[in-house]
Amino acid sequence: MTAESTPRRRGRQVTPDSHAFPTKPYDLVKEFVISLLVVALLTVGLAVAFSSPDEKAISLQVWAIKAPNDVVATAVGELAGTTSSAGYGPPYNANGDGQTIGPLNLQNLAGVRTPVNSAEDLVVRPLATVQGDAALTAALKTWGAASADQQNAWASAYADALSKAPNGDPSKVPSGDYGPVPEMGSAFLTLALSGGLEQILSPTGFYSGNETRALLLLSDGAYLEDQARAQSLGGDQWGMMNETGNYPGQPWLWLYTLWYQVPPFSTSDNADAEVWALMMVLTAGLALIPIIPGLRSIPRLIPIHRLIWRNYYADRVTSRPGDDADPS
Amino acid sequence: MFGSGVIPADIAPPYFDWGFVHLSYGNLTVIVVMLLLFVLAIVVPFPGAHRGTGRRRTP
Amino acid sequence: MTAGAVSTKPNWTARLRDWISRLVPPGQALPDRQPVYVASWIYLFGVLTLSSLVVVVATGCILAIEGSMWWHVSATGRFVNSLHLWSVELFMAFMVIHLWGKFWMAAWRGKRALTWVTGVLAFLGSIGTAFTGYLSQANFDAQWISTQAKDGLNAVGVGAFFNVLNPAQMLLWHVVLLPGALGVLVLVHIILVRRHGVVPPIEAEEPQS
Repeated sequence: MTAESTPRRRGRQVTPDSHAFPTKPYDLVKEFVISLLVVALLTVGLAVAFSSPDEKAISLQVWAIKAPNDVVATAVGELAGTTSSAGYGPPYNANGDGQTIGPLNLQNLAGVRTPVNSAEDLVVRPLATVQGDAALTAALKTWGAASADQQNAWASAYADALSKAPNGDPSKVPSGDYGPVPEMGSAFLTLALSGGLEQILSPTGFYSGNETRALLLLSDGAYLEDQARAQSLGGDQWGMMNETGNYPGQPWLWLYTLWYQVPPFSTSDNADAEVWALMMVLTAGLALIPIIPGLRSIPRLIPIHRLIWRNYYADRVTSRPGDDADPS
Repeated sequence: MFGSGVIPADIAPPYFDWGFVHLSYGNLTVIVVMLLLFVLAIVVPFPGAHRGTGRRRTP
Repeated sequence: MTAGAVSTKPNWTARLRDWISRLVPPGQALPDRQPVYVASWIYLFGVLTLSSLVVVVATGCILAIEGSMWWHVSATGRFVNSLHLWSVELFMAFMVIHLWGKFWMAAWRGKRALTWVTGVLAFLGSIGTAFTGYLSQANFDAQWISTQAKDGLNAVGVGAFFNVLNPAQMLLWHVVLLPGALGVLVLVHIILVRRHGVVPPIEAEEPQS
């Protein structure tokens, strides 16, 4: 049995060079090939057994068929400036304050780089493309000629009336001073039912590719979220981890989504920015474990390694007393 | 099983609830299997893990 | 140049060649022997992760041949999509178990901090790559994930440059930029493992002849 020593530097144990240890034959390439075959077989097996989820996208037409009152309410909300996108702030517009992390407002710092005017881009301009509807043309002319304050007064009044009507049904709204807004809301629903709204929304026409506007419009309504929450995909339902149906989702996002379930984040207006900041700190902590005292000693203090290397430790003839320095 | 993959949006799949934890059974299965694999990987003896000094490789 | 004349100033090619040859000790790029302490099933999770990544990329390439909408209109495409999904689940599972193992082995010891760091970066890169994959599904899941994720990214200014509501952008990040970056990280990670060798046991003693 060879004599062995524990080299130390400044009182801390130095990790020996791995190339100095006795060796045994080991076939890395064979190991890789076998591993590849095993993974390939497992993958095929899982794919055959479980397939993959593919819940169809909600088109704006389907939204209009399933939840017509929601479409009208959303369009009116865009005109009134009360929807999520209308008051979002950067990167879409300057109508919101942006989230903060203490004194830092990174959202504002990035600026408006994806400009979207919710009323104009999501409602008025699409409506302006409709042909052969004299009532709509007149309504749009009235809207365009009115001041911003007048537009807001009409749209807000109608939005308020819709929210009070049974089921948000436009046909049950009492008469009032709503200007051209009811006509615009009704025409918008007709446009959505036609099936062509996605492309009309696209700033690049035939080849859309960038679905920012259609997605902002859809997510301004209630229908998309209702469908998502029915499958526990909501932010306060650990939704980030989940998937449609019974499929596993992204379980590796468990720590990110966890914070949204607990105070103070669950009730904070700055939750997104705060959770991001916290996760950046924790991620840096994970990456820098090798140099964080205490954290880097956990593996030595909770000796799971004694199981992993049990043969090596059993082979050691002697063990030195006082081996309690931090591993280097 | 889930062959078709097209599941109506109004059917809520079963979830595991424990305190504030709300986990899908799909995710729960993945996590449990991972923990099991980790434990097995550490405790199950590795074949050919012989006790002894082995041979030093001649350079 | 006269016969026998030798340049005394090493040129860039020679310097690069020497640098590459010094990346790992001689014979250690693909050694056929390992230290005797490499004897646990936990050691397999690195190669299982790498194998899974190969299957992920291969199935992704098959999807790329027919395009990103293929799997919605073809049963074969749907099956290949399923292969891609489940190989990703296996990849992430094996990688996390590999991380657990390396943590409890304190595998950053012996000048291996960069191996640990590149591993963590590869983990993060994988999460990002998977995320852009979910955004590229062109279905309800992608609609929901994108409209939710935008809030987190916008809140810290990232959304102004990385628009999750733009599938045309997200798809290219998913198949070009992020896998490219991940590939580099994985390569560096593996080179570092071969360079330093497998970390000796905690409190291992220096063997002497």
